Amino acid sequence: MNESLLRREIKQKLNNGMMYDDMRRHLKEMENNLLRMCFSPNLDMTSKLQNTIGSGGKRLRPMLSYFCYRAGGSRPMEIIPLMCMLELMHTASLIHDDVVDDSDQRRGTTTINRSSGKFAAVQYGDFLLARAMENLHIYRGTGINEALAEVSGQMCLGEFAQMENQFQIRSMTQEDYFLQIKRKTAYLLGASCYTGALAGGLSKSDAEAFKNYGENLGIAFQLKDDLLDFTGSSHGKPFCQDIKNGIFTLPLLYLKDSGLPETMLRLLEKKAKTDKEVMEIADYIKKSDAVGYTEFTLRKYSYNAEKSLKKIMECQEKDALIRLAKSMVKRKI
Amino acid sequence: MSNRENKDNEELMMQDEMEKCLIDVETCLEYTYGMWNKFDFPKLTIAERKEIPETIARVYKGDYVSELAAACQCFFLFRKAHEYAEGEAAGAVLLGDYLFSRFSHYLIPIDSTRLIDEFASLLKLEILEEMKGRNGFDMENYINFLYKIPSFIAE
Repeated sequence: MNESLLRREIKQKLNNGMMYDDMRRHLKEMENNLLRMCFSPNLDMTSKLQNTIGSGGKRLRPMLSYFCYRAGGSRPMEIIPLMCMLELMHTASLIHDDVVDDSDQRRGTTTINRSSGKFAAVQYGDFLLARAMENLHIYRGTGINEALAEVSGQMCLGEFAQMENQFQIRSMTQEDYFLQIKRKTAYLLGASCYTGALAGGLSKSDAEAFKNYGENLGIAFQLKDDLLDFTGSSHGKPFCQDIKNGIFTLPLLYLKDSGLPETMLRLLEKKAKTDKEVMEIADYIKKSDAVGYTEFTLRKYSYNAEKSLKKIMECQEKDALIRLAKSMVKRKI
Repeated sequence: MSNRENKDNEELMMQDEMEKCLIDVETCLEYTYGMWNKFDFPKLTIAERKEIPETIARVYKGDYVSELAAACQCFFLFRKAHEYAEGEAAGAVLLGDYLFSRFSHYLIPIDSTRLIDEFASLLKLEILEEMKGRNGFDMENYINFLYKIPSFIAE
């Protein structure tokens, strides 16, 4: 996900220093709380979790929840525990994803499953979930806990779908892809906005508008991220990982619907591709109109995100969120 | 009616409640049990599917009995699935995470802060014990925990 670009965009574009300072203070407090939550009698777990929390994540979900919270005038509830819960859920899912994908590296450091083993990584991720549970009582009866429980189930279903669709280029459809990315990514961004808005005292209908914004933004992010996977990423992630792992994203599915040669279909289905074969696929995509189609789709969702906030009262937080949505389409792939 | 007949009636009613609770939990978890069977884990025994719902039906007489039983069953299955992470890691992790989300889903309507806190503490303790090298989920300890649930909810 292109979070570093987004974060820089927010920093540059925010013209209200006080709002940004306030957000930074809240994020700092959240991070201090998260580091404290990692403490346990197990030294390896404590240090690995603290390293993971402190390893430079962009805090997009708590940041979105904070903006939506701030947009509500009354702010009847605390926001820091919610920000912590969102980041704990996200971090636990990343630790578990690394086990599922058998990854070596995340954010430039060795993954927990590689350094401490798969079993330990799973348990450490579960420890973060236990810590997240400790904050549930703060939001009893608000709809926030229900929303978080629902979205965590959807994320798992998205991962299941991705697992089932791996290397299945012939049967996978664009609808499958969109449902997958909604579940894996967009719904949590939507829930971050929704729950932040509720905590900020906004009405359910306004919170739904923020939720729609977050979901559309999440789809746009994922589309950008998927394009960067084979056009060259600036995040330090290896190139063409999706193609290598049989994960089919919109450019390839668009091309499949337009008609792919049998040789290309067989290549895509192949489980152990050589680097040369991966490059062949990447070049095929880049030379087609699939990139243009995906960029257009990205613009569509970015615009949908903006439109979702149409009925929200004008405020600097709304402006910041709209700028964030627009920033997704500014950079050429 | 004699005392013996009263006692027999009470026993029949209890069995009836336990069976209803079990049926409700089986219905709630139908999809999840289907997924469990898809992966290469040891199949759940009948006892593993029955013991927790029946225990809850026996000890708890408040609202949301079936939801509570489903939550407790999901918690047990979540821990059990994650034990298999060394083998079929992908399935074990994802299914376990899904079960945790269902556990949360069923737990929240019961609306007991104490219960949530007790489950959080239990989970942390379970994890620490697993990391010390204990072999597998401690079912006896868990059943003892289930017996305390009415007192947690009553607070």
